[in-house]
Amino acid sequence: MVHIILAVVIFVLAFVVISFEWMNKTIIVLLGAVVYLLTGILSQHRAFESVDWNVIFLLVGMMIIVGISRESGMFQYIAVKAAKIAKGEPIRILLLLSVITAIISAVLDNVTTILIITPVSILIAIELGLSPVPFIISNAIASNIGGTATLIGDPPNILIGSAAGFSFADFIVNVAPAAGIALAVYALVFYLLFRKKLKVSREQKARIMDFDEMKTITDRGLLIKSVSVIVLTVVGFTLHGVFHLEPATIAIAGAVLLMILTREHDVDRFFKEVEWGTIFFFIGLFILVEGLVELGVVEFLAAKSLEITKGDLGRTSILLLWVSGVFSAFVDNIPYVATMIPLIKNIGQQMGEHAIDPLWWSLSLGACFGGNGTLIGASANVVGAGIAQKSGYNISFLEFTKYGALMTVITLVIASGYMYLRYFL
Amino acid sequence: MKLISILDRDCIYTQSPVTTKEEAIDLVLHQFAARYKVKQQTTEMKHAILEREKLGGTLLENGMAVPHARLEGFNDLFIGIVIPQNPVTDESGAVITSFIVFLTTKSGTSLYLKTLAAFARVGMNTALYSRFLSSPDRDAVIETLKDLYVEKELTVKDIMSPEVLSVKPGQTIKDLINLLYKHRISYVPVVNDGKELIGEVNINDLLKIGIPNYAVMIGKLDFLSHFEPFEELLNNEDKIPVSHIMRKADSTLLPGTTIIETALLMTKFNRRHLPVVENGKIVGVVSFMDLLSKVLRA
Repeated sequence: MVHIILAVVIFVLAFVVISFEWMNKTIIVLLGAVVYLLTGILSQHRAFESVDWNVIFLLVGMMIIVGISRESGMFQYIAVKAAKIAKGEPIRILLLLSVITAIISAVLDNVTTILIITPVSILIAIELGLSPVPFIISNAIASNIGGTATLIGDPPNILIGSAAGFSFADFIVNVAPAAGIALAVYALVFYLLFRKKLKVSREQKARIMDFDEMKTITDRGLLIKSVSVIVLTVVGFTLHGVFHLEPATIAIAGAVLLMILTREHDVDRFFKEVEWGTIFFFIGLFILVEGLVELGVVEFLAAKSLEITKGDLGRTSILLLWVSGVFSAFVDNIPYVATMIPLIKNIGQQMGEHAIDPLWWSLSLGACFGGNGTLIGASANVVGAGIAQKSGYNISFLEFTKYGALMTVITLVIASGYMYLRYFL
Repeated sequence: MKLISILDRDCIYTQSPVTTKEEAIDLVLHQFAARYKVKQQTTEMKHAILEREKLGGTLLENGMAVPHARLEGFNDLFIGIVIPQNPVTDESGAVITSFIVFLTTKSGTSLYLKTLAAFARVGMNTALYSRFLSSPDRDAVIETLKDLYVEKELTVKDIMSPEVLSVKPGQTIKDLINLLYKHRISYVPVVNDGKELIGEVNINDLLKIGIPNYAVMIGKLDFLSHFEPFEELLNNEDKIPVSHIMRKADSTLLPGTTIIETALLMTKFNRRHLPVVENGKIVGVVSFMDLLSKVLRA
C-alpha cells in the first residue's frame, strides 16, 4: 500500500510539474523513474522491459531522416512555391501554407514542420505588409490537425499504434478521414475569419511573385536523395502491415539508407539531429506508467471507468474523445496518452481486444485535436509562438486560445459525429 | 631578472650626434661586430634590419624605435641603445626620439619579447621616458632603468591596448555605431559608471539587430529579389540601448594572463578581442591583431 501511494504521488507530481513547466520534463520523468527503481516499486529488469523500443526507434529514425533532409532547402522551396502558386493573394497563401503544413506534419514531426514553415510564413506576411500572427496561429493549428492523420504524424499516434498493434494503413483508414474533414472545415472557418482582414495592394503581391524559389534549394543532390528516401519510407509505412514489419524497422531502414546516400557519412552530425532529450522523456515516461500498471492502479481505474460508462462502448468512446480533448488542451498529450494506453488495454481485456478499437481512435482524435485547445496544448503551438516572439510579434495565451479553442470544439464535434456514424450507428 | 643585467653598458650612446636611422643602426652594428663573431657581414645585418623596418610597426609610443633583426647562427640577445641629441625624422616622417636596436636568434622569442616589453613600458611611462632621453651619459641611463625588470613571462599587460574606449549600457546603438565608426574599431567593452566590466559588444551584435530572427531561421535569403537591409536597425538606432544587444563578457583576461592562454581562449572561442580586467574594472583590451603585431611579428 505504501508503494501504491508513493507511486501515485510521484506520478501525479511529475504530471503537475510537467504541465506547469516548473522543471525540464525529461529530467522530471527520469527523476520519477529513478525513484521508482530506488524504492523498489519496479525492478530495473521490469523497467527496461517496459520501454516500447518500437516507439523509440521510430522516433530516432524519423529524426535522422528529417534532420538530414531539412538541410536541402526542400521545405522552404515548397513554401515559397506555394506562395507563388497562390499568386501572392494573402488568404490563399495563408490557407495553402497551412494545408502544406498539415500534409508535411502528417509525415514528419509537427515541431520540425513549424520550425521550417513558420519563418517562411512570417517573411511572406511581412513582405505583404501584413501581421504574421494569423499565419503563425494557422500554421500551428493545421500542423496539429495534419499530425492526427497518420501513425507517424504525432507522438500520441505513435504510442497508440505501437501499443495496440495498429499499422500505418489502419490509421489512414480509421483516423485520416476524420482529420481530412477537420482540415477542410478548418480551412473554411479561417477563410471566413480572415478573408476580409487580409487585403493587400497589387504591388505587394508582385513582391511575392518576384521570389525565386529555385534559390531556396541549398543542395540539389541532397534534395533528390531526401525526397526519394522520404517517399520510399512513406511507401514502406503504408505497406509495413502487409510485410509484417514494425514501423520502427521502416524508419530505421529509411534513416540508414539516407545516411548511406549522403556523401560525407558524418555520423556524429546525423546523430546530433536526434533530440535525445525527447527520446529519454519517452523512456522515463514508459517506466513511470509501468509502475502504475505493476501496482494494479491502472486496473483499478479501468474498472472504475467501466462502472461510470456502464460498459456502453459508444458512450465510452465519445466520453473518451472529449475527456482526451479537454485534457490535452491543458497538459502535454504525450504523458496523457501514455497513461491512458494501459487503461484502455485493461478495458480491452474485459470487453474483447478488437471490440475496443474505436476507443483507440477516440483517444487518438481527442488527444491530437485537443492540442489546439490552448497555446500550451501542443509543442507546435509553443514553438510557433516562440518564433513569433523572437521575431518581434507577441502571441498571447488568449490570442492563440481564441482561435485554438474554437477549432478544438469544431474538430471534436466533427470527430464525435464521425465516430458515431462510422462505428456506432 | 633586471633589465640592466641584459644591457651592455658599452653599447649605450647618449646625446648621440646621429641624424638618420641608418647612422644609429651603423653605430650599434659596429659595436656588435667588435664583440661577436658571426658569419654575417655588417652590411648583411643592416640589410636584414632595414628589410624588417619596411614591414613597419617598429615605432613604439613616444617615438621609441625598435629596429631589429633575427640572425642565423647567433644565439644571444644583443641590445644597442642610441639616444640622439635631437629627434630624428625617418623617411615616412615619423619622429624618433630613441633607438633600441635588437639583434636576436632566429627562432627564440621569449627573452627578446620580454625585453622588448620592458622597453615598451619605459616608452609608455612619460616621466620615466623623458628622464631616459635626457640622460647625460651611460651611467645615467643605467640609473634610470635600474628598477625595471624583465618579466619571467610575457603577459597580457605587455601587449594589450591600455587606453580603452568603452560604452555604457544606457547609451544608444547610435552612439555605439558612431564610436566604432569614428575609431575604426569593431569591439568595445560595456562598463558601468565605476568602469566595471558588465558586458561587451561588437559589430556582429549590431548586425544581428538588422537580421530578423525569422530570417536567421530560414537560413538563406537570396530567393528574395529585394530586402531592405538594416531597415529596422537604422530606424531604431536612437531608441535601442546598448544593454539590449550586449553580451555577457564570459571570457576575460587578467593583466598577468600568459600569451599562450590568451591565444588559446581566442582560438577556442573564436574571439577577436578579449577584455582585460583587474578587480572587476576594465584595464585594457587585447585583440588578435595585438598577437600578430606584438608577438608573431614583434
